[in-house]
Amino acid sequence: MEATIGLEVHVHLATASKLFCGCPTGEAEPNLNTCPICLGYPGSKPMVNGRAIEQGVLVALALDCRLAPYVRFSRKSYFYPDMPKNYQITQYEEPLATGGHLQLGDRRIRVRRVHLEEDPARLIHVGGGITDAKYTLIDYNRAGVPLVEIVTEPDIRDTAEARAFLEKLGLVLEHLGVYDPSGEGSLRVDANVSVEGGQRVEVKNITGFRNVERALSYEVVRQRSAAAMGLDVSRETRHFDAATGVTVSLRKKEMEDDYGYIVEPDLVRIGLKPEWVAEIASRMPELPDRRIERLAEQYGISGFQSGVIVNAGLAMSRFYEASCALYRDPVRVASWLVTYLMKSLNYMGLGIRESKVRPETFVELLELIDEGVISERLAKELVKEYVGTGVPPRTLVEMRGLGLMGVEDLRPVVEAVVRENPGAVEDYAGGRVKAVEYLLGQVLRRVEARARPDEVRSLLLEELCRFGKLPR
Amino acid sequence: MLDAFSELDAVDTSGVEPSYHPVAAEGVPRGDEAKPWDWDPFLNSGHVEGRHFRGPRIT
Amino acid sequence: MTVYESALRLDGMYHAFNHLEEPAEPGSEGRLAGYYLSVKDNLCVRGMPATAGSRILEGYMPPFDATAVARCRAEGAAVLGKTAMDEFGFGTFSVNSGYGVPLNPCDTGRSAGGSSGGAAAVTASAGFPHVALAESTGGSISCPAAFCGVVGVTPTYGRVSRWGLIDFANSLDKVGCMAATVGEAALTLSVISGPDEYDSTAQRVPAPDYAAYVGGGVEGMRVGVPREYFGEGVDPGVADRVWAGIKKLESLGAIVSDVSLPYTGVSLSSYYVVAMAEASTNLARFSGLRYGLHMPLEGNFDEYFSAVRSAGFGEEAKRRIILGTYARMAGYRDAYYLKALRVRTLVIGNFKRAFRDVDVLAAPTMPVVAPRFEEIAGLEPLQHYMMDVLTVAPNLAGVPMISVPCGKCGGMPVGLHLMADHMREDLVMRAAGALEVA
Repeated sequence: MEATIGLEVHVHLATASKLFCGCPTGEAEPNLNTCPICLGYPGSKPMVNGRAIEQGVLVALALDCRLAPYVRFSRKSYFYPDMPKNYQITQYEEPLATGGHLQLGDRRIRVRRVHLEEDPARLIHVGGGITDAKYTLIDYNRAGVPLVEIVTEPDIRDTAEARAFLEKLGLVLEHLGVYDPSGEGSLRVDANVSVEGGQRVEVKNITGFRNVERALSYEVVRQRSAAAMGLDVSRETRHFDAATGVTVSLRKKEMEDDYGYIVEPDLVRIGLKPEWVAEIASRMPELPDRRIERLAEQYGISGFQSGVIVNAGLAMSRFYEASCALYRDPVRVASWLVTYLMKSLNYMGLGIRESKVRPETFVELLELIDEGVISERLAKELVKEYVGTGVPPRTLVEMRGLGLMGVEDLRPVVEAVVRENPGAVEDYAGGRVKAVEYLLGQVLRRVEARARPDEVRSLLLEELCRFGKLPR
Repeated sequence: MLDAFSELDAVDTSGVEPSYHPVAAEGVPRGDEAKPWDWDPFLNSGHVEGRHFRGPRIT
Repeated sequence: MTVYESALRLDGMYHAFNHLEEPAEPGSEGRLAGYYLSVKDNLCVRGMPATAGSRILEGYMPPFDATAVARCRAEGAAVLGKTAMDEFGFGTFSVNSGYGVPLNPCDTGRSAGGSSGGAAAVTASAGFPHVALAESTGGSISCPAAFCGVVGVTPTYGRVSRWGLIDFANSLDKVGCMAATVGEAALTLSVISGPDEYDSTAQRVPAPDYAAYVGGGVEGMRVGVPREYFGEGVDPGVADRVWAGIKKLESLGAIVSDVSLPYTGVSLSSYYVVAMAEASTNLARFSGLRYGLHMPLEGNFDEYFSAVRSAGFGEEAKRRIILGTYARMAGYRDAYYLKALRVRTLVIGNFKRAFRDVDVLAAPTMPVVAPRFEEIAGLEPLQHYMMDVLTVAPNLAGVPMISVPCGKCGGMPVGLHLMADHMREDLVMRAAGALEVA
């Protein structure tokens, strides 16, 4: 066991308005999405967004948690410039849900609690980083946006597992429709790390899966090195600097922070009535594990392929199913999707959503092969260009005259290749049957793969026969 | 004032639930509609830079 | 003399306003047609500064009306100005004001009460049609109403929306009103009451016509007199006047009986812990960034906000923030904050139990008449708090109450306090109305 890791994951919910006011949650000019409530003006009071509760309930149910009977909020007090009221409205005594888990293969990572809270504002440190800036600029657009916070037990044993957990969690949240993975900074993690019975260190505010993995790797190494040298690892809060890849001490934590929690007195409890919960549960979408099973069952593909497709995100599995609706052979579709299309996308660093590929144009590749217009080999070569440009394969083939050459056009090339390669021809005549493959390769190169190998091979044999060069 | 604290000690509240509000009420959450507020958020602040609020450095 | 000139004159004499301006013409239609409105300075009026009596909000211009204000304006009332108060409501005599200290029109050497002192002073001296919007956390409407000899209504917690009220203690604050007569107070209460989506704690019950109850009489009404409210510490002259008032009700057909509210004493401790714990969080937002008192941006965030708060808050505010923070700290939270909330349940239980046997409770509003300013200066903090004990318990329980003038003692007004069960403002209006005409 490498380390003991617990994660606190903060995810922006996909609501139109903020948690406690009607301000829009989307991208906007700084401080445009604000009102007296989210700016903490004296005299303002919070108004709870019902859809945020519903999305929180979906998350809790998807993670197999026990729901609380009421939704109650608390004030968590501390002074910081990103806090308009210098307290955050969150859930303390009675979180939305407790006691769930997320299954990672045969490993079960327990979820301690799921709760709702408001996001603080966004700070820009001017003239330096968090520790040495000259002053701060504050944008309150983000202040009050609803967050669901998912806290795990310290069950995670290494950085790879932490990454896997976050990816699976992100996938589940995406399937629930409460989280948009393309949103910038819409998932933030606080990690608690300790090694081999040492002190627990908190690394705060890490954005994105990749940075969590980097931060944890660095931190585990740092703690182990310290232990190996006989140095004490102090219990503290650190910050991960994404630019340099190191964690930096923010402040020492001798004791727990005292947030002086009180129940939020501007809000009364909201009952999570069984009828309401049942109605929300009835809207539970298909979750990743079930989708993997279903795709394999429904389309007759392997569990492995199904897993690859589903784990690549909601857009990918939707793309697959839409393609299957347009083309008769789902196994072939899966094969091409996993082996060629996804490989190209990954190579170009594109997600399927941002790329220009579409189910209708993707299946053209397979249709063109079936119609005998192009060879399979050419189709595979076209994938990269198709992915890069989004130009439909039929159009590509037409534009560049890439269709398969007819026999009358192939014969002169075959004759030329045979004439120009006497050595290979002699080899063939001498009994080296494989020499014909060399000649085949030459022909295909010259016609830019616009021919089917078996057709070229029979033309070559015909020519060699004409030449009188059949093996003895 | 600290006497007040010890006075509370003397009261037997076993089995009594706390009253966060004096009159029982159950909340009704609002619908999720984006309703922008038409105003100037900077009107009351002396520390503004462009469209940002200015604040002191953190540490 | 115009109303504005009249107001300027009374402000010159009693320092009742933090802000006073020439009002628009009151509307000719609406239930408050022809009325001028003074608004306690912790209720927001768009276009007028709101200070809540504190220097930390100097110059603050709210971008909205408090719901109560908006409703009055919609019914034709014209806003005159903002009345003086103890900073954020912290006080019983309005001496903790960061601006002027209001004087009692009955004797300018005496306090007008607090924290809504300015509202009471205007109500007692306005020679024009006027009602005052005010606010109570622990007795801040009843106390000044009693001291200045006017009618003060504190409705059930949640009866009136708190949107636009600068918070002292959110589970205790109630917006209410003062007027020269019970009828005007009842009318104003109907105007400002009712559901409001902007305040989640507001009762989702429509407002009845309270003025219709005022003439209802007290024939057969059961009036309970809590013995704990006539104890030591209540001035005998005050007690006499109050008993006279109770006898008057009896003569009009009320049935008077003795009741007991055993948790009266401890309600003070519970109130202070809850109020200060909530207040300490409410006041955290004042850090010189988006509104209110600003200073040059020097030093780091901790240094900056400490400097602003040190300069902007008065002594009482600082004291309450410290004590309130202490009461919520881990380790003390159960013993203080949560314990106080449990005691509140017991106090509410007292009232509920009493209201099974009686319709209203009657008691002195304050244990003494308005004290002289020199006397106040000599009071120990604990003695200050004892002034509150009669009003704190019903405020903690969130029951509706009304203070009605009930004779004089040594030339100064005495107030009689009538209380009823949650949402039974109709009963206190009937009792108060009967007392007024008698």
